[in-house]
Amino acid sequence: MDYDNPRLEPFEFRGSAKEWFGIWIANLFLTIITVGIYSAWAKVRTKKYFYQNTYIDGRNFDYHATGLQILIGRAIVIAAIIAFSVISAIPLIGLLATLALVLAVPFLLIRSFKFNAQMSSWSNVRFRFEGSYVGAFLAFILYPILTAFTLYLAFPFLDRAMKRFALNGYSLGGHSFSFDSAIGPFYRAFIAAAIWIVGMLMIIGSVTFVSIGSLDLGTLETDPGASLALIAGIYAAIFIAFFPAMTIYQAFVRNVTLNNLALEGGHRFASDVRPVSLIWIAISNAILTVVSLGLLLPWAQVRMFRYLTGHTALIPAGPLDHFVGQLETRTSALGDAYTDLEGFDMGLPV
Amino acid sequence: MPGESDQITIPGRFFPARSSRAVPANLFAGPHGFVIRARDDNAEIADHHGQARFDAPIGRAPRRLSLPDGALFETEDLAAVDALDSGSGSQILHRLEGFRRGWTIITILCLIGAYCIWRFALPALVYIAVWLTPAPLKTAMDAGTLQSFDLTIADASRLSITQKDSIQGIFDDLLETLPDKDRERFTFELTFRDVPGIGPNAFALPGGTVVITDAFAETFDDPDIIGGVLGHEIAHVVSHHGLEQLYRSLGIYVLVALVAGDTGPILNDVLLEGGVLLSLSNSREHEREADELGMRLASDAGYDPAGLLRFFETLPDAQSKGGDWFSTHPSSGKRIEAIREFIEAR
Repeated sequence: MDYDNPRLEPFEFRGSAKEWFGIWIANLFLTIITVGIYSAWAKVRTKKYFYQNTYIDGRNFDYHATGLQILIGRAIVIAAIIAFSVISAIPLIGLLATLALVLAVPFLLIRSFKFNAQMSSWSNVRFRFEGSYVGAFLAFILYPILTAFTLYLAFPFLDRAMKRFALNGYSLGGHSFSFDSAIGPFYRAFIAAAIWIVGMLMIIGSVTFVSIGSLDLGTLETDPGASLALIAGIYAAIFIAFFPAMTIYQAFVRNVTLNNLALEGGHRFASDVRPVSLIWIAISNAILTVVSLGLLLPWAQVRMFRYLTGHTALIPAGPLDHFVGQLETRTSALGDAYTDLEGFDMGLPV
Repeated sequence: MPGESDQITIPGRFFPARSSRAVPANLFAGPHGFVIRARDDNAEIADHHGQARFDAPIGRAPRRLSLPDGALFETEDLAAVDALDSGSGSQILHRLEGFRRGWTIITILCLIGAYCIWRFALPALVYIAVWLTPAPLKTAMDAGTLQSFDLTIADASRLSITQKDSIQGIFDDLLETLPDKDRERFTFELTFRDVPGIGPNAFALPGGTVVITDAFAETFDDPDIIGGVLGHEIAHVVSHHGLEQLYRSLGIYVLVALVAGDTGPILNDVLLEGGVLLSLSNSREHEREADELGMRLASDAGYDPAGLLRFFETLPDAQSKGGDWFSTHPSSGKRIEAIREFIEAR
């Protein structure tokens, strides 16, 4: 490796769709016949497959949680939700319980980041996450509330704050990650998404006016098929306008985030995901998955993962052999299960 | 010990304790212990008693042996490690995952299983979720929904007090016929809104809020019709239809995520937000149930259930006058038939 002229070292995915299908269908089968209990082990095998097949600098990642840890964490969260529901039926106590939950969320999020980090490793070194309660409270409770008051026009600020909190907390073998960025690129992403929405709505609007004008409204009540088709058309229009816009935003923001991410020691990252490619892959994946009753989902997952890893790179400033991990105290899977349920996934940037 | 015939040699690389540095090495595994030597100078770098236990295999990824001090030995010689740990439980799973000839039958079984989940497990989960939802939460959901409604398409009602009072009276009559235990589980409240564009309409929110449009009050003043429609909406509330629809779509999202994994950015959003959007409109089953229960409530309160029939018969004319192309109460011929049957049976 020539360190005077730093090169881009792309991440490499060495898995295959065929191989993954076997594991995926076994996961599905075992999860169904164990009424969902195996899903904890399935999650571990999924993460292991994708992590262990992702390489940078000739070395791969790994995932270390056990199915039992994940299962216990999930069981605790489900029990807590049931307890919360029962308690909330009592008027005053319900209010206090809700307040307690809001105050607990930053704590749970930090635990989740910590658990996910500790269970992930690269080249035999575990990741670490450290974050303050106050930072998590601001980024995940206060700022979202404030952003709602701006009718989400300030969303790019919120997004940047959340990413700052998450990424700056990670470290690998004693070397910290750091992320910061001007707000401009986030707003460029936001505006690009907005342009898509407005453009699509205008196109759809003009098409709809034409077709409604030619529609005989009298048939709508007696022909349920026509009114259903109209409603389906409206929903399709909403999908075409909004969902690709979210993907556009995420593609731009991913690039900004990784391009401004550094690893202590002078190492930097790069991402050149193209929004149009990402939309094309996401939409074709979605259609093929649905049409195949879900059986093409593993192929779709590998295709998307390969695209993302192929467009992510490390710009190393030197050899990557000097990372040394610390002895870790064990963290429980409780936080991980909570964000599982909430759908947060801020694990590795890939 | 070199030279022993029952020893297996595995080439790979060695990572010192918790370090990222990789050293080419060989592992010599015997029945009672194993030794790891650096490849270039054959110097011993690790020595352990007990069997060499590699981590479970997954696909064709390199096999790893984790040492207690945090060191790691990794090899791509999968055949050699397979020889070492043949017969273990993780090997069975690994073989199941690689057994391509079995894929067809497993896939068919999975499709059947998925159907069974959708048909039986999902309704059960929805039932439990509805049962677990506390009343204050339902009321809060109503408030939130009504607020977004007001912010977007609804305006304050322009009806006169007498108009509102007469409709409120019919609403109260219908509530009286509800058994106390049903009535107490919700916070029933009738609200009026002016919603230009959707014509004469009424809909119910999960916590007990029933919204009725000005266009409805201005088109229909027959108490039987109003009774029939309000009874229908109250029936939706009491039967938890709104909440059931919502939990059904959320349940599908959670089950798919749990069982199938990550569905990708767009399909994910379609399943979640799309599903919730679709849950806004009631199923035909729900509409039929609400028709029946609603007409029963109306007739118990002293109104003529045929009012609901007259509503559907008058509706097309009313709607084309009001430009209502966004029909949220699709009425099929079958539905009108079912209503007729109910009336004749009484």
